[in-house]
Amino acid sequence: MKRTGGSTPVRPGPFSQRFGALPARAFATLCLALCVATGQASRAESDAFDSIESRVKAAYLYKFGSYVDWPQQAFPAAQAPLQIGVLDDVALADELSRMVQGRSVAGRPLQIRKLKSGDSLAGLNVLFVSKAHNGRLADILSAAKAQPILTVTEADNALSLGGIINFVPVEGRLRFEVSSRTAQLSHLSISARLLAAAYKVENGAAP
Amino acid sequence: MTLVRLHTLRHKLIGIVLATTLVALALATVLIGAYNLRAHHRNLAASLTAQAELLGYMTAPALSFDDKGLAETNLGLLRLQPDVMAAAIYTAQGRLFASYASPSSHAAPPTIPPETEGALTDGATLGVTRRIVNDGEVLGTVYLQADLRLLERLLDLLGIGSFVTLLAMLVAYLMALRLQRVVTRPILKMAAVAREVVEQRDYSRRAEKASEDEVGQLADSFNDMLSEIEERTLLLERSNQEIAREVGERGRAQQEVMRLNTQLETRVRERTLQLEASNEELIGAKASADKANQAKSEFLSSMSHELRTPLNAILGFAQLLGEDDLPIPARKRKDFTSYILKAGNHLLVLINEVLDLAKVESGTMTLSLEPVALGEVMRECREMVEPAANARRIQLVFAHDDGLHVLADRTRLKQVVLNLLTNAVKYNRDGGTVVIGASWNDGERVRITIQDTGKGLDSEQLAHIFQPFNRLGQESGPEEGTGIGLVVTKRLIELMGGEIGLSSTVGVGTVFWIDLKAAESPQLAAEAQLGEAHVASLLPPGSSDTVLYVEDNPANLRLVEEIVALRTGLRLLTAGDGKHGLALAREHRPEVILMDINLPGIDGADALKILRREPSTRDIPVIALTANAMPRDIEQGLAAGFFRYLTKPIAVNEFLTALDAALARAHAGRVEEPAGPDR
Repeated sequence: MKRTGGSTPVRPGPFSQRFGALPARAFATLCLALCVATGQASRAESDAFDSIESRVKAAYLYKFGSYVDWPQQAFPAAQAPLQIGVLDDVALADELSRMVQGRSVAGRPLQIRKLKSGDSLAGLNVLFVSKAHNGRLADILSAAKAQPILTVTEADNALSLGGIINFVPVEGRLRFEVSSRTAQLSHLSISARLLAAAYKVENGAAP
Repeated sequence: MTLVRLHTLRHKLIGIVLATTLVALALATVLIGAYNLRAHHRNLAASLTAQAELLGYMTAPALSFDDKGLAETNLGLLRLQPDVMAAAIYTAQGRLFASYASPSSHAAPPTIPPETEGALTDGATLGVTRRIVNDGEVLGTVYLQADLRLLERLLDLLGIGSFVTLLAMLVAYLMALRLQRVVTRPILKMAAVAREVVEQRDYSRRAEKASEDEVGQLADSFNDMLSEIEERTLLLERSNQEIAREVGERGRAQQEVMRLNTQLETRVRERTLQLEASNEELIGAKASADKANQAKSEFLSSMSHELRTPLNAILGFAQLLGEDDLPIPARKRKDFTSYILKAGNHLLVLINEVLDLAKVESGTMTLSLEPVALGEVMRECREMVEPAANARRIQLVFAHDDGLHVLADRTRLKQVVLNLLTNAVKYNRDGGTVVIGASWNDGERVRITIQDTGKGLDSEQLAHIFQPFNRLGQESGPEEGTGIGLVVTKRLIELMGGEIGLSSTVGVGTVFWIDLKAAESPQLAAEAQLGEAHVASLLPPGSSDTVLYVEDNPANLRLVEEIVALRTGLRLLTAGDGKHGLALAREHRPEVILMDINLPGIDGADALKILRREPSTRDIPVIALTANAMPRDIEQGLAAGFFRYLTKPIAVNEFLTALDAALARAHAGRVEEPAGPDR
């Protein structure tokens, strides 16, 4: 797999026009890889990098829904939308909103909710806690605990704190780890296929 | 397959079974193979499709979360599937995301995913393309490429098929070997029965019916046929026996026919022999006829000689007498005249004998049989022969019984006796003796014998003595004779109911004998002679009468003139032909006409008819005076109305007698009818 220079990012036209999740993700991955490869990070470059990373994360966020089964009570109705909550990360939330336009997961439309600290988690199916909240991650996670909410974090010890999926950068690429035990506790069934794609899966480590 | 060449039914059946099995197996092998290949293809396609689906399903997160490692790990699991040569996963954008190549092959997946989804066969490879879809979103494409291993499969199928075929053929052969007997055994049994029937001619054999199938029906039909043949054979044998019997009968009939044929042949042979015998007789008869004919020819020549001899004397002496210049004395003239008379008489005898013979031979000789006094005849003959006998000093001894009478024609009897007597004198030796005898032979017959002392006759001469025209070696002798005297004699004797024969000894003499029936009364004949003489005496001499003589021959005219001149009171008119004669007759109306028959112009018979038609001449008696001396001529002449029929040469006394009778008739007629004005 040879990566062919940086010509691809220079051509945002087709990319932006298509609005495809996978192209976007691929593009982000590619940019990320390039950044890692260069090993340099200016301010502007750092912003750009963040933007790419947030887009990748956004893509991952709604894609997780495809590999997770929620209990029936998690939805008020059969066709109720899958609600993805983004805590205090407007950029990502916007990105995600754009991305899920016209998409569905398991026959359910996707609904993005921008959350602020202290907002009720009721009705949420997926909750993304950015690393800005890593300091009080335990609280946030505990609030979601025992609820059928797929919590996605980006902290090193998030799983031990009760997180279910945690983004991990590995070799310049965005990977994730999964705690199936926590998922079980939250009455979520995570697909083995997702587990197979996970960088690491924690089963028995109780928080 | 050369099924046709298989000879026995068994082989054919086995061949059929094997061929059927082979065809079935080949078809089955091909069909099963095709089905197998197709199923394999479909199975492989389905399997690959499923694997692609599964792979796609399993690899969807890898695509979602850009996890190449996961994708390659998933692809790597394909190593457990050896059919898969290559595999690849492409992103939704069509980029190669992960690839796999079987270690055993060097195939590489295409860098671009196939555009169509599904299974696609390309030669020996099967490519399966499958989209990876998650929640209605196409994440990428899975491509699997598998080796169909067609060649291996075909070889495997071929091997299995061949093995199964061989095995099945073997089994089929063994089964057919056993099972064909079910079919062939009844047929072979039937064939054996048929062969035995043919070889042994035993039509009572029957084929065993082993089953109810077509062979069983065949056996039934065969048996029925045998029954039919048996029946027909019996009929045929019966018919043959019948035919043999008929043949035997025909053979017997044929033998009968052959026997009859043999008899017929025998009869034919006998008849042939008879025919040959009769042929020989005919040949003999012909020979004798030829001989008689020859004798007749000889007779004619001798007759010519005999006739010429006296004619020579007559003509010669007549010439001498007629020659006035010669000085012939009167005595010589008388001698000449006597020579002429003698020769003329001999000639007359000759002609009379020939005529007699002709009469006898033609059967027209008529005899008046009457009792004849033998002694009288003997005396007359003696008077006639004695001068000749005396001339040669031959003694005539008449030793006959007086008073003997025989039933005979007096004239002819005298002729016979005279002939024999003359011969006895003529052929006797000088100074010899002739003995004439007559005596009773038996109660009814009288035998006359004339014995001479001549040279006698040998047996050859005896055999021919009574044959006509033989003169017994005297043809060139000095004695005159015609050679027909004895023949006439024998015929005359036979006509008179008598027999003639002779016995002779050479050197001693000959005895002729004649047997004739004896008769009793000679009186009637004597009276008849007296009557005849009385008529002759009635002639009135001295009357003057006219006689017309019609004759073309001057000599004859002269003779008659001389004869008539002997009579007084007769006037003779002569005419040279019939026409002149008729004219004279009408003119002079003569008392009597003398008419020759053969005349120039009107012949004598026609002239008579004319005379008889005319009243003036109708009653004139006409005397025929002709040389036509044959009995038939005489008969016809008398029938035609001639008063008398006199033949030449003219016997003067007879002529005068006839002339007197005619004159008497003429005078009688003239007395009865009224006299004409010119008389």
